[in-house]
Parts: sequence; structure tokens; C-alpha cells
Amino acid sequence: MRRSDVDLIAALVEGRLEDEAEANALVASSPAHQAEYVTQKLAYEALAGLPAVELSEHERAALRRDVWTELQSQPLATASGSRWHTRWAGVAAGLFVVAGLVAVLGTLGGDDDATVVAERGDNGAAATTTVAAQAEDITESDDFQTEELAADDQEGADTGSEPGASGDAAAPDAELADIAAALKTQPSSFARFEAAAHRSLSPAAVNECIETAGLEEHDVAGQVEAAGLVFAVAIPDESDLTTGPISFVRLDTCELAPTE
Amino acid sequence: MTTPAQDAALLRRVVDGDHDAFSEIMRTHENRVFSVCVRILGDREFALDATQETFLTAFRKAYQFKGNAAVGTWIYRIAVNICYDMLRKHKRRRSGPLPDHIDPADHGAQETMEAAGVRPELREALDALPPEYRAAVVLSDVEDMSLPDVAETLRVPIGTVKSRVFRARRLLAKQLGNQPAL
Repeated sequence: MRRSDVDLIAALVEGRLEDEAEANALVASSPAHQAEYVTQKLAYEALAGLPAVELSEHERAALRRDVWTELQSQPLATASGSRWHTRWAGVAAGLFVVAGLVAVLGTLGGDDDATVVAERGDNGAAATTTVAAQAEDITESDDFQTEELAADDQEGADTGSEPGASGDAAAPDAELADIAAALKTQPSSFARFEAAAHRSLSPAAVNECIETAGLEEHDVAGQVEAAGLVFAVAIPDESDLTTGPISFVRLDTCELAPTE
Repeated sequence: MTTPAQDAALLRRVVDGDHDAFSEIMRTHENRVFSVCVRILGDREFALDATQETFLTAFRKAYQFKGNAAVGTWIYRIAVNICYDMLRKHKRRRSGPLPDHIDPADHGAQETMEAAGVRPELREALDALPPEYRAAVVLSDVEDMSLPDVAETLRVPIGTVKSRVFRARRLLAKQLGNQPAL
């Protein structure tokens, strides 16, 4: 089913259309569209009909009491100050790496848009500097979603990976193993392997990609290029390049890449 | 009820140490945060913990808020991430097994079933969804957030939200279709 059909059926189900004629015609156009409309509507109405959930007065009082008890033990100025120091130290480190990357790209006549250098999740301490073309992020993400829906239509499974793509994964094995070895002993060598960003995804899409590859509770350390392909470099939460096992996820297929 | 601009002004006051401002923010958003957490976690007790953690995190990170999104969106984003963490760590979706048969005299069992605010078969169907799909469909279809707001909350493109909601509904319908009619 095409992306536009999906969007139209969803809009019809959700009651967002002023004129439903086109959508109704689409639903009536085939048994598949009719079945999809019924499916979407069944789930939507079941969820939309759920009763509201609210805090009881007892729960509300307990929540407020517990929050304030916890906060009274934390001076606001000290907490925010220490985090600012941590954050700006991380930003300074990231800027240093980006400056090196820009210098290299400038020498090579590289692209204007560069990659994420380092990224942590929302709940961890932030130490991120991102230089990316936002418009390209959105375009890449739409392509990613189109791939997902197309793969579902072809395979009937929720994998989002392209059929037959795994055969190419064998080629960069040795190169990835060399990259992993270099990063383990000298993390500062990352800049040498940085992807040239011609397929950069938004940070959220990269995170989703590594989770699709089965790497939950992992952080994305950056992106590298090997054998003409772009890989996310993933390490377990709360570890770093020197201590944690390094995994590579191919960003066009969201598959875990084997390394020698 | 506060407007987004008022919320942003309140949060600036929080950074300056104004606890009354934070109380106001909590009053505005605590119910919805709790509702989102209950729907995602399927457990009222865990949802209370997650709600508490959400506001503690919001207080601690108030200085990081840049104003790129509404304060409410930012807070719900924190809540969803905390729920994800709890699901990963606890890998539990209920405070205890639901009884197969409810004895009308067993008020405790009745409250357990009703505390999640959802029919058991729908609760099971939601529990079976991958967390990312569950969050998207809860925010969209249960909390009635617009797609742009859901995208902003989850920090993913609108296309990703549409895809997740679409697939979540498919999975839910399939699950509900396998349940015996009540």
C-alpha cells in the first residue's frame, strides 16, 4: 500500500478530513483498502473510547509530598552549576572534534553537511555537538519510513530491512574490525573514520536504527564509513569506546554488521 | 490551565529558584503525565513512580530547556523516556497477574482490573506492543495529541509517528480480533 493511501485512510479514521469523498473512494477501491480501514478503525475506536485516567486525591498528595521531599535535599544552584560544567566540557570536546572534521573536509572539498560527532540519550548527561543539514534529516527519515512500509508490504513482517541486503554485509568486515581495534586503543582517532555524511540520519532515526538491529541500552558514539557504507558505532550504555564492546549497525538496512 | 508562554515563563522562574512556579507547572501537567505513564506502563504504581521521576528530572533539567518546544511537550518527552527505561529495566507491565475470574465479592481484584482504566483484553494488546509503538499510539489515540506534537514529544519525524501509529493499530486490531467477544 502506498504511503499516501496509508495517510488518507488514517486521516479518515481519525476524522481529520473536511471532505471524505476521496478517502471513501479509496477505501471502496479494493478489499485490501477496505480491510485496512476496518483494522485501523477498530483499534482507533477501542483506544479513543478508553476512560480518562486521573490521579486520586491520595495519589496526588503523595506525589507532591514525595517530589518536594526529594527536591528539598537538592540545592538548585549547585545542581545546575555542576551540570553546566559537565555539559560545557563535553561541548568543548565535541567542538574540537568538529573543528578537525571541518578542516579535513575543507581540504578535501567535502560536503557542507557533516555528521553527528557524538550523542548520548535523553536521560544521560548531555555532551553533544551536532552539525547537520536539518532538511536532509527529514528527507532521509521519510525515505527510511518509506522503506519500512514497502518492506512490510513485500514481506508481511515488521523488520523494516531491505530483502537480500545482508549479502553486502560481508564486504566491510575486515575494515570494521580494524576500525574497532583503532578506536579501542585510540578513541581520538575517530575523526579519521567519520562518515562523510552523505547519508546522515537524524539522531532519533539513528537510535531507532540501532534498536531495530537489536541493540537496546546502547549509545551511539558516532558514524563511520567502511566499504562505501555508513555504519553507526554503538556501545553499551555507560561504557566508552575503550571499555565497552563496539558494535556497528549498517544505517541503510539497520542490520548489525559482523566484524572479524 | 496555563498557556505555553506562561509555562515557559514559569520554567524560567523555576531556574531562578521559584518553587511556587514549579508547583504551578506540576499542577498543570501532573494528571496528563500520570495518564501517559499508566497507559504505557499498564501499572498504576509504576506510573506513580514514573510521574514522580518525571517531575524530579524536569526540575533538575529546567536550566536545559531551550524553548524549542512547549514545556508540556518537553515534560511528556521526559515521561516517555522514563517509561522506556522502566520497561527495559523491569520488563513488567502489571503490578501483578490479573485474575481469570473476578469474584464480585473480591473488591481488591476488581480494583486491580479497573485501576489501569482499561479492558483486560485491550490492556493485554497494548502490553504486547513494542514500547515505541505503544508510546506513539497512546499519545496519538488515547491522549489525542496532534501528530506534530507526538513527533515533537518522541523526537522523531512525523513520518515515523505515522508509521508507528499505523503499525500499532494493526497489531492491536489483530490482538483484539483474537479475543473472544465479551
